[in-house]
Amino acid sequence: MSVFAKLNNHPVRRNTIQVGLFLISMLLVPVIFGPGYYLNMMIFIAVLALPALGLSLLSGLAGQLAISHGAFFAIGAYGSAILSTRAGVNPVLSTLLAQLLVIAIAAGIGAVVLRLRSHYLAIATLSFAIIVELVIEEWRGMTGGMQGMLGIPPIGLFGHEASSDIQFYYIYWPVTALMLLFALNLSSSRIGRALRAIREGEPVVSSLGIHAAEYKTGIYVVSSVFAGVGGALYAHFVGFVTPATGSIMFAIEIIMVLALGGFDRLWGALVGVALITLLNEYALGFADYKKIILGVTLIAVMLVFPRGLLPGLIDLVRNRRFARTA
Amino acid sequence: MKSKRILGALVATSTAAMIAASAAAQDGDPIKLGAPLILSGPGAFAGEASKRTLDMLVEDVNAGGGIDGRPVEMIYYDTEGKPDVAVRVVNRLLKSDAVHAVLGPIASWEAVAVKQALDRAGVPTLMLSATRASVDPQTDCMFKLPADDAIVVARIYEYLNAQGWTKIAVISSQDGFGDGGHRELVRQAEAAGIEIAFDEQFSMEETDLAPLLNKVKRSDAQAVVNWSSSRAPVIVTNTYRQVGMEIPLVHSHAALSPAVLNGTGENGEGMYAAGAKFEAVDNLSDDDPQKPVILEYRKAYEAVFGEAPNQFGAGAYDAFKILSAAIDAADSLDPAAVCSAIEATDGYVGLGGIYSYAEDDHAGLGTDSVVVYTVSGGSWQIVE
Amino acid sequence: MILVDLIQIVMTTLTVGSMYALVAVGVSLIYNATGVINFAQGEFVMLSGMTVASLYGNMGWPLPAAIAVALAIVVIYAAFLMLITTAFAARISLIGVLIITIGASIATQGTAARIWDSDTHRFPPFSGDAPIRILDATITPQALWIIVVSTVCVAGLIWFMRSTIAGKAMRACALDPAAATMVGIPVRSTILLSFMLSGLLGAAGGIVTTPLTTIDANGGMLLAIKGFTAAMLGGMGSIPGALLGALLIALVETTTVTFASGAYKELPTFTIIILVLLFLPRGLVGGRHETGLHHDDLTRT
Repeated sequence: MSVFAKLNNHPVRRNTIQVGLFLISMLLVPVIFGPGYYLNMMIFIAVLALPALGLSLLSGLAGQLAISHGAFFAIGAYGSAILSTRAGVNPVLSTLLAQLLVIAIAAGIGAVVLRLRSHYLAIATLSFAIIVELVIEEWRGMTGGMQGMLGIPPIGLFGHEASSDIQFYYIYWPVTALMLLFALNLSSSRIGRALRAIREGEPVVSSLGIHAAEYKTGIYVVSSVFAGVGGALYAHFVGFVTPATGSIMFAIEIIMVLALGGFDRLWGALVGVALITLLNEYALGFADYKKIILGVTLIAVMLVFPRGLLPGLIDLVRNRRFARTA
Repeated sequence: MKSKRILGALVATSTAAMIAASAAAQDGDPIKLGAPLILSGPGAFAGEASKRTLDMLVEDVNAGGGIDGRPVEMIYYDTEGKPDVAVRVVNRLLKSDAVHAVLGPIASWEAVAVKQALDRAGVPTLMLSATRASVDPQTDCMFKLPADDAIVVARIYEYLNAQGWTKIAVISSQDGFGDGGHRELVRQAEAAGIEIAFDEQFSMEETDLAPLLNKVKRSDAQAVVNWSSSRAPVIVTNTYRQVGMEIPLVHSHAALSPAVLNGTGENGEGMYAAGAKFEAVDNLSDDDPQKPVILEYRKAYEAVFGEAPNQFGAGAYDAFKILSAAIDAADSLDPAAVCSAIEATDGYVGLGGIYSYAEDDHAGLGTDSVVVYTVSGGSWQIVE
Repeated sequence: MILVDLIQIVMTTLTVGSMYALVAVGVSLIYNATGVINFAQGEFVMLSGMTVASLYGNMGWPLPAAIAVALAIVVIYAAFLMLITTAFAARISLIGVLIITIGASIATQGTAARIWDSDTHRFPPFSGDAPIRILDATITPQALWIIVVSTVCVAGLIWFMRSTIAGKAMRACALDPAAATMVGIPVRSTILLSFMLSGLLGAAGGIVTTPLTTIDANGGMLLAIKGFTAAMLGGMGSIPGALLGALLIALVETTTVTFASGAYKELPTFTIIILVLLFLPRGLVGGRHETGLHHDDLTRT
């Protein structure tokens, strides 16, 4: 049997090797190309990949789309910001602690809204996102209101604060790689298979003794934590948070990421994030055009490749028809 | 699976492309100035006027051989009026474009957000935002142009006292600008002998302010001070008339624009505002040193663009003039030298006021640069 | 004192509620026909408001002409929306269509900002600004226009659905597209009609409200969200329900502003919607079940 075939039988091993190779290549990039502004963009890619991966887990495994990832990004960001600026907690610790808040809220929200299907779920999560935005804007004593919070301490390791792009780069990419690995393994695990089974037919699955609701809530919480970690890392990189962090437009951009990279492809999410970050950079002067491009691309992609641009293209390349049965 | 490794390679190659693109941006000769302006969204009129003014000035300067013989190149980015975009854009200006100085940003909330990055880079910055927070706490190389909320509020309180309207209602918007003004209004009230009988904030998204104004109506305030920008003064003024309020309405300097006059029409008659002398230049006495400067700018702007400039364009004008004078005086682009030269600016007659910086004063203007206006016959007239 | 408050609350609720109603009814109408929730509903309002603002407010066209052009633009836009949302219906999930409408909404905002600008605009009210006093409470004449026009539109729509052949055909299609086709009803044309009517409602809203609230290129999205919140509250797909939902939301908002602070205006509204979705998924009046035009799993085609 070829190496690849053998690996396919051991998904965890395969995933680890793939992510490992990927991480090594990413870590070598600054070594090869030297310092520069591009590092800044690459760090954003590492950070934004997290909510994208989270949403990809939710949509890929559970087949549902929520619009709450922006809100959890914000909760993670603000939570960590508040803990580290007001309570002087070390940023790494505050990032982790903030996730407790994310988990609590996601579990609560998930338990109630995941009973809903499709666009009702979308609207419920959208409403939740609006509420979060409102709370952030109004609870000025805690969140700084419309102005946001400034002077958030940068992330640091072993007592040493990161002060240059290169340092952030070498801290954030391993984190993203680890979470990517986790997501991949989750997807190919028994839990992942159970979730896909639930997606296919909930009543059947219940009769097999699987508590669908728990699984769905579980993956929703995991997905939200991804977003929350991304938010916290963002806060400790940029140094400030505003109500625009994790806003609804942000959530829509993440959906766009998946529309490009594929709604059920974890690696595709990375490609999608890279594309969107590039678009954001080169459309920096042209906010209105950016909206037009974003909107039109969303429409075009969903019309032609409803499962996502990348999977659609890959299908084309492999000469399959648009529709698949499984 | 190979396809996934190819994806990874895709990401790597696109970064290579990014690097190549940014590497090509290096250049020896021109003086590069960065301008993070609001070029889209509701604040775009401010950024547009600033950009046009700067374009006009740069063309002039370059036609005359540049500053110290070097041509000037302006690099504009759209901050969309959002602080996070402003930070991204400023980072780009600093790290990728390697600008020698920064003119901007415009919005108060943007200024506060970018302060840290600019300070760390030590690049001379002339802020076009009207909040004292941009220079307070003060940093080495950042200066502010427009008359800020502290000064305008002081002037307004002076006027209110003179009119005997010492019990007021304060309504302000919930953004950086409104917050800054609100803070000053509260801070200076007691010392100025003003009692704030009603104090509430509203969201900039709000389009229906009737319930709020009805509440104000029921308080026993003698005048209303509204601190908000963009379209909010329009909505406040129109609603004011709609609910039948009669007591005087005083706006912040953000209301001093043609857009507000257009939007309020007749409803605007009799409303007050305080701000720089720019808007009512025709009113000024002929021996006011600012008058000829403002008139000349307005004439030039109108000739090129076919419409009157606003106070934001004026701010950009002053910033550019002060900066070029400083670079000229310092005879170098070394940040510390330029900053000292800016600090040495004393008595510069600008469009927004007469600027004098000092080691402990990077705000540049005093209350004498602010006047009180009222709308009479459809245009802003100076009251005192 | 309290009486004045009450009158003010009632008037504001009716005014704001009428605005939301036009959007909400439009949402229900489209949902009825296709099972699609139209995120771009607010753009109907925005486009008509901006058009009249520039033609009548800026360029001095006569008001009726400006209105006619605005309505025409919105109707064409609605037809375009219909095309992109129902094009490959079998292949795209409901969420996919929702994403398409989100994309349409964003693209429209960007385009509007390019065609006009991002500033807020308005035009003078139809019958002047002079407030009308009812016992110490004041209302502006434009508010009356809003209430009257909305009532006429919604009533007209209900009459249309009940008494005309085209209207009945719309209801038939909504109930059972397959059966409707079998009796010879042109389903696609009927769906097109739903979109266009929905557009007209939104456009009417934009035209009467802009003198009061101003309009800008980005104003549509929040309005759309409130619109389908209202529609959901009343029962997605039910037109009387949408009306009821809109008035309720307006009431909640107005009382919150009057008795609490203007800042938290939207909080109760969105909390209510989550509660409604959980405990009253059919809404207050009871909406429709999803039609068979789309399936709902994102990852299947």
